[in-house]
Amino acid sequence: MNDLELELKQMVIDVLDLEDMTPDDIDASGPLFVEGLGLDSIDALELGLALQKHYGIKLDSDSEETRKHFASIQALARLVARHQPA
Amino acid sequence: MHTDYLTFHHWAAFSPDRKELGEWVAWALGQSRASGSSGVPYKAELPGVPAMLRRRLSGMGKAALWCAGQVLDANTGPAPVTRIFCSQHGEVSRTVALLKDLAEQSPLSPASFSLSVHNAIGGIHSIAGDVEQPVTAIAAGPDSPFSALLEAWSQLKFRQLNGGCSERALCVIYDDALPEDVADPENRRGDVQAIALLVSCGESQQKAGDALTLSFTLADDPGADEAVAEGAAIDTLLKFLLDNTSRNMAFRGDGRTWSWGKHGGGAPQVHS
Repeated sequence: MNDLELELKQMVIDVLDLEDMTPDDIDASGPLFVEGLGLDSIDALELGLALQKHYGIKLDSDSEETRKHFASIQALARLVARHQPA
Repeated sequence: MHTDYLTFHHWAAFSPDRKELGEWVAWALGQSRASGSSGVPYKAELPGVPAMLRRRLSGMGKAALWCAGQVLDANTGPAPVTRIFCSQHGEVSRTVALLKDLAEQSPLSPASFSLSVHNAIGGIHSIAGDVEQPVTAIAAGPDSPFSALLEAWSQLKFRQLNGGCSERALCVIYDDALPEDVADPENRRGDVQAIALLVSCGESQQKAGDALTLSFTLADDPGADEAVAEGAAIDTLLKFLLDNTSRNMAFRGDGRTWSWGKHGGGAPQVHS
């Protein structure tokens, strides 16, 4: 699980151009949007695209489910783990 | 032919090779060879722009906002009432990358798309600085920089006719080299990557201080005997502003000729 979290943190940093940030700066359980890391709606779309490209996961952009998956790195890791072959 | 006047109060220019006033003056006088003092390309630092906004800017966008910041910091007169952001090609590297994605039928990056629009840099400037005044974004072919100045003059003149007095406009002009796939040998990037100019509607008489007043006319039919400047408009403009020995300059744009003249006074200064 930790490897996947690290991988997702690095993906977030790379696709969202988070200059000068390292995976250690991101709290895996902390909120990604607004008051947490400070990501915005364009970042959400960009992240959705990255999940599709990297893991083949397609999310509905305005569903309540998607909000839950985007809550934190840990929530994203649970989503990606479910989609990966065992 | 109608002549009007534009007064230049402050300027700042940036490229990876030059950013200091002295470096640009030497460049304007044809004295500069080496890039930067240490040979390391300059990077436009923007400590005043929050990191989460700053990450969205390209190198060119950072250069543009660096120049804007220098000029606004130097300005001791009234704050600008309007801001013009001008570029011939805008964020052309992003646009070309998006077109390639489209050609390959790959999904487009939403962030890249939102930042490829022509008012993106002005938008980030206005968010970062809590700017409540209008921001105009223009592109006008090879003579874009002069069109930006005309736009500034027009907006200020309109306000003047409606009671505005001694108001100033900020012009921010920037262009990058075209990506290789679309590069046109006739249309190389200038030495200046970005420039910011703080201007006001001029008077025919030179005013006090360091400000420089230029006359300008715009003609549809260029005079055949007029010497026309070569090179990128952005370079031509800055060279003319900085070279005290040059009294007149004409630039042939897309079907029209801009003629500029000096009426005493020195180059506008950026006070450090």
